[in-house]
Amino acid sequence: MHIDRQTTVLVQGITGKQGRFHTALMRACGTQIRAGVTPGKGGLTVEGVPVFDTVKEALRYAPVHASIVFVPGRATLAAVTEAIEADIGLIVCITENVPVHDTLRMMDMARDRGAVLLGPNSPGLIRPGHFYLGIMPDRCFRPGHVGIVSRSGTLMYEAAVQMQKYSLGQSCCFGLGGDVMTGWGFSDALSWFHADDNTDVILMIGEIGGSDEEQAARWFLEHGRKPVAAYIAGLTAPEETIMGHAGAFVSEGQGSAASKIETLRLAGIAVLDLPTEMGSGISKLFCVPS
Amino acid sequence: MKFIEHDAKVLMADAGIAVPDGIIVDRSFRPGALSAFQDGPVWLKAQVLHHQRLKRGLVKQEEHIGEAEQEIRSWFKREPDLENIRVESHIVYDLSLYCCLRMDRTQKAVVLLLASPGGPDVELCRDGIVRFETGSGIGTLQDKSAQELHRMGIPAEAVLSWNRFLQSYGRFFMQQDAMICEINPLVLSAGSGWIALDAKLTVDDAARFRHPEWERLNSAFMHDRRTSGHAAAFADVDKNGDIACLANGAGLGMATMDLIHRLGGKPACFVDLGGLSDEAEIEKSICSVCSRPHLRVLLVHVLGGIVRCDRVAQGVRSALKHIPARVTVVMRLSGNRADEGKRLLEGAERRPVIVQDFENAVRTAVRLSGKDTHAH
Repeated sequence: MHIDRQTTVLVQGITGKQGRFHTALMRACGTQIRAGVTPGKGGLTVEGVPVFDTVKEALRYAPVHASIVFVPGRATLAAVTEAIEADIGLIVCITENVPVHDTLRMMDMARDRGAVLLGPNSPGLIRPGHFYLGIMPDRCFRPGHVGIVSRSGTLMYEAAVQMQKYSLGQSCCFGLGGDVMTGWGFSDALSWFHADDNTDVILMIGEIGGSDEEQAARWFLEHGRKPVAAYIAGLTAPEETIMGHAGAFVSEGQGSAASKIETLRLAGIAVLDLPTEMGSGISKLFCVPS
Repeated sequence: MKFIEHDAKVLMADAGIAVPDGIIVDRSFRPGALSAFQDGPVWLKAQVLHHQRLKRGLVKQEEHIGEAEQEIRSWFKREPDLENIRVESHIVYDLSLYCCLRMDRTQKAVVLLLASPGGPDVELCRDGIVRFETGSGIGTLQDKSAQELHRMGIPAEAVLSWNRFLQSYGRFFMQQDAMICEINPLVLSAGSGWIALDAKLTVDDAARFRHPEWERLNSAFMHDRRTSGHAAAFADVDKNGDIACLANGAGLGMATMDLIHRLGGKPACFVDLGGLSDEAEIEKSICSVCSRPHLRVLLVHVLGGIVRCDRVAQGVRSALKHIPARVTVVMRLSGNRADEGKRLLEGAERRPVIVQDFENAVRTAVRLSGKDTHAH
């Protein structure tokens, strides 16, 4: 997946409140939004962007590299299917409350067609100074050489803000999303950062639930070459309680913060004890010879 | 959303999965309601969601209808919260299995778990459980599971009817947007094929829009009653905790609770505002959280990106009138319109304690919660 200033974008669900609002913000950041789609609203213009009924029609007007999806949960599967079938290589799904069975179908389709799916429930991705596709506050981020990958949106902004104090910026930041299952996982992002010459160190921000952090630890044991630090949220969360994100819960002893921290440490990842150490922890990693 | 056994069985029967004949009775139960069962034996099963029914004596076999009626009355007298009891006919069977389809986060697939024999002790010996990954369909499952049943010593003719069962079961799992559908035990009864003697069903709340049939079930009503009064993103951490946190984002909220704990405080609960910036909703959430009797501090932690800090501040200002005097409000507002938000609060009658950064916000909250406790 290659993303830069020339990456062109389609907005699915552009006529809704969220789609409209974030189209304006993304354009202000220089994102090259070429077209929008809302079934039944073809012919309109939103924020200067022409709207089409289907992805196919939109792509006939202007080919794009990436799509960002704002359509409601009940229509997300159809929208993402359309984008994958049109061979769009990067799909960022912002929508929350997508049925898990639908997510599973989207993940299978994306894998079969070689598309990158971020989300559902993702805050998007940002390559500061180059490319912005999402809903995070862009002014928290500065160009630099730290790669951030996070399940949580707000903790990703917090990390970037903490890094400002140490004059550190980011090569790229990926928000994986807080759902039970999501397309891209930590190991996909770690692998991307390892191939990216602009990334020197990596910060992983995980949380309770699932085993994506553990899978990343296994990936890192085998392939890791760049220094990685991690913070895991949810040490105080009681079992079986859903902590805000649909996917953030510990069940039958699986997915607890303590077990994730242990696994990451054993793999040689520097685990940060406190959420306030994300800036200082990363600055220390720059001193470690890799 | 978790379903009570009776509701799960009603849905399963509709989907062609065999279940024992049964009815549900409530507190308006009258003698004669069990006439359909002739003279037993019958099973009485309390319709509650927790998993300790057997230990608590809330699953019981009765030989005769008269005794069953007496027992039902005594259960309702003994268990004030019990609403429903399922009465079902006794099934004679030859062999049993533990059988469970579930959405597996690690495999990112639907998996089938099988064990032989089934029964209440099966979860104690996880090693005996055989798993299958299925991808997002269940088509590949038949051959592999049939082989496994054969290995478990299940007779060949039973494997034939297994395929028929698995088809209905798999279709049911997909159509119902199920997260977990556990049948334990699943039994093979001569002449009747596979029968689900028990059923635990958890479905995906996010799919509720396409399941009008759920709304007719008591489970949906019970679920709504359990969660009412709380925003969807409310999480209880400790009933005895004294610091509540209102944050915009689940990750930030969890991290804040963790830091409270690390610095010696007692986190109580958190509310994830998400992208919410409706002042009235924020006010409502704050009032609901602050009514907890042990609460000493409300920590409002907002990193305004899309959320506007001034809107949150306005919600807090309106709520301050209703917050009990024992609760101190500590706020960290950062990002989108933070200065406007802080200005709004300067004019308030009860001024919250405003703190600049993450660590100091939590330190202040912990300190204030401790000071209050000593004063009492």
